[in-house]
Amino acid sequence: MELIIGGAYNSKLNFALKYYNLKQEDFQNGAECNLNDAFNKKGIYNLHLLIRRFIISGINDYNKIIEKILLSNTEIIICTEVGNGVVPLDRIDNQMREYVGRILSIISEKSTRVIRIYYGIPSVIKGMDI
Amino acid sequence: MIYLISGGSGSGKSKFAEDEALKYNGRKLYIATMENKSSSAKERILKHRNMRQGKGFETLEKEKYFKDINLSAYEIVLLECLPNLTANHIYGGGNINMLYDDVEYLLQKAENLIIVTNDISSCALHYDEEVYKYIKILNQLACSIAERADKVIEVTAGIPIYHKGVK
Repeated sequence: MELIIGGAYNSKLNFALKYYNLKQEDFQNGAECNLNDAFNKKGIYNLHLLIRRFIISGINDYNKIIEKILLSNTEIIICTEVGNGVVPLDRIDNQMREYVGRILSIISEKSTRVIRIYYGIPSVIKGMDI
Repeated sequence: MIYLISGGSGSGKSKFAEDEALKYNGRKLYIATMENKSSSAKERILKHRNMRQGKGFETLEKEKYFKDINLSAYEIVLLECLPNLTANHIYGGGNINMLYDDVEYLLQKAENLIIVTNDISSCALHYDEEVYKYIKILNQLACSIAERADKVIEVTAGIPIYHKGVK
């Protein structure tokens, strides 16, 4: 499994499509996919929005989300980093912010490589250089 | 040489950008894009002016529409900053095409160019659609500049991290 992170609109998905030579159809979109099918494609992007939707759907333990990811065959996970701003007043935003951080920490441990994208430019922060 | 320099608020990116510009001996143009009407803007402008004092920059306060600026006399041009320029265009009577035109003009006409932007993309607040639209426009523009830049530098706590190019 490989993990790609970075700020919003930093060209993370574009990087993945080019680097792994894949098509957008190979990725599930966490913003709108069916919650039960989230991890049935080669990759997923907008994981942070999927996490938000899982929280709204009633999941109240981030380990359950981690379990779903680890039991699946998803190989590439793309997620926006959301932990650097002010603590949100909204309960859902606040919970998403923490869940994203916790989930990414575990997923990065399980990943062979972690790539951080900065304005389209990759930095490998774990694993073999590209 | 084209530089894209980014970082959070108060990260030291502006000072770093100015110091990079000072490595050039020729005339230096500083394009300040901040609107200068509100009192908080006036305060920030004053702070940045003091910071530049004595460094030999010629300052041009211009919110947008750069095509009439003659850049040929300058060895280095510093644009401060991309988020303001973007806001001036999309909320101040311009549009996205004109925004790209302004940036393109600088990329083509400046002998050396430093563009300063601000990283506002890693927050969890669920903003209005309008805010996401703004972040998207700003960062897509920054990504396109990064592609053409010789150096892409993130400044955090005053320390430069080179994502592209070397020191």
